[in-house]
Amino acid sequence: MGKYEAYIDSEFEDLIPLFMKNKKQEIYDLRKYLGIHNYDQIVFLGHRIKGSGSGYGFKTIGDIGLQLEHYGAMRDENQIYDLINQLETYIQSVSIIYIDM
Amino acid sequence: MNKVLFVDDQQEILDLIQRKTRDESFDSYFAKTANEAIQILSTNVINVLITDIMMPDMSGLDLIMKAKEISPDTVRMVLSGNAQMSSVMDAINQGHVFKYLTKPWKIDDKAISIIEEALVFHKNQHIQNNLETNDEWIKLGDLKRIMALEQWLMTDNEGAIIMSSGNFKLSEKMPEIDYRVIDGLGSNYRIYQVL
Repeated sequence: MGKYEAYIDSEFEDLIPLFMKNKKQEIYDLRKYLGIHNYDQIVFLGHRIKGSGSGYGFKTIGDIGLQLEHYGAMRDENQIYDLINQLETYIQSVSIIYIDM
Repeated sequence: MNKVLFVDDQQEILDLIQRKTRDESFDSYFAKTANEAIQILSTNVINVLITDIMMPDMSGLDLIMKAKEISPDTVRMVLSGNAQMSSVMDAINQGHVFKYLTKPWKIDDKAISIIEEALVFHKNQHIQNNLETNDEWIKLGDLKRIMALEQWLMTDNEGAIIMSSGNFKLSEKMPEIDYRVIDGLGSNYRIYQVL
């Protein structure tokens, strides 16, 4: 069992692999934009991650997206760096439990 | 069947909505860009439009204004987070937006009931527009008086008999609709004269 658990609507089960693939791409993009200090794009990506994470029922991902949006607007490089790592760790270790909602 | 158009620039969000609305009583349409949404609105009768606000090609509020031009009968709704609330409230107060759904997209019972409310609003609005121009429409209040005088059969859209007056039998040759009537909820009925 992973470090994290997420209870997700079983109706989304076949959509989750694509969702996770998208998060990995967004992590790549976040690092790229952090590297060139493009904070507008970090805010934009944070907003998307917040929306999709919460929409699918991954509260932790939604919260990280919210913080990325916040610290992106503040141009806080260290916080953004940590949040990207947190998101990556979560994606890699979360155990998904599908439930009927 | 009623048609609801959902607009969001994230495909994964549209996938989620598609999944949660597949068993609903309306057809769902999807657009990833405002321009795609405009195209759909131009070529289909869309009852309800629900759009995200932050999109790359055009903001959801600009899309709402464009939709009002090209499809004025479409009931317009937005999905909004707290950050955009002030501009959304302005749009609602100016009559451009019917209601808003709060972010994130969550197609739960509450959201479905708001969409259904928008569909009823659309239907009533449509009937109201017809009432102004169509002499065949009569008010439900007049119906009782007419039903008392005539032997009429009333059916709903599915053809089910829901009200009748006196003894009657159906004519072999069903006449054309004599009248259409609506009730207080905007439900549509047809009245046939019986022999």
